[in-house]
Amino acid sequence: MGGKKSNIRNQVKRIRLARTDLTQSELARRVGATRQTIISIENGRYSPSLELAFRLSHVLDVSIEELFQFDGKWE
Amino acid sequence: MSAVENMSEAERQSWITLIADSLVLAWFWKTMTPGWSLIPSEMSRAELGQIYLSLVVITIIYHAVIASFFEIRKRGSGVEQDERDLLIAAFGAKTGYTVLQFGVGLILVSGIMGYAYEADIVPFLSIQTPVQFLFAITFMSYAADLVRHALILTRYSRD
Repeated sequence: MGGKKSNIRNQVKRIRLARTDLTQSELARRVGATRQTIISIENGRYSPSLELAFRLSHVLDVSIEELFQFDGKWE
Repeated sequence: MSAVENMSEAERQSWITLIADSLVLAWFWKTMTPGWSLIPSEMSRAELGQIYLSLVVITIIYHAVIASFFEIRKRGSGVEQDERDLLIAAFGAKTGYTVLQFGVGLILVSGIMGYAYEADIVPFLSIQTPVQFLFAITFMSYAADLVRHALILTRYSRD
């Protein structure tokens, strides 16, 4: 949030397109989010809550580690 | 898809409320002051009462219409508000409240200083009569709400 690029990278778009035939709208409906939120997540502008991250990994049938990676510095 | 189609329902509601609030504030401002200044015309109690009654009725009606419109649209549709919408709304509410607090503080200080020294401390603001006080508080309340919606919409465009 806040317009800053998040330190959390995600593979939502890549995995959605490569492994499923879900549209953004369908994925949004299945995880209980709006399509706009899925667009923001896929563009890396919004980092979802832990609960939404788990929902995404469940619907896309991948581990949460495969879906999200921390890209910042461990300090 | 157009920009409007790409908006969430919460974002659309914020846009419509921002436009409606702006129009009502413009009407109120034009009615209360001679030529868009921040110092209202002096008026009788009956005139002031009539303006405020109109303001209250207009505000209740348009908020009810907007809320009903979006409530009807919700039925049968998918998720209309999620965690991102709630976060953005919370950010807007917090900042809008801060602006309101600052404005009320400025009005109070201006009023107290004006009463104590019989002079306007803030050049563009005069708080020496009940009409001026009511105008300043009402104006600030609407302005804070406009800031809230403007910030919400800015966040939606960035996040």
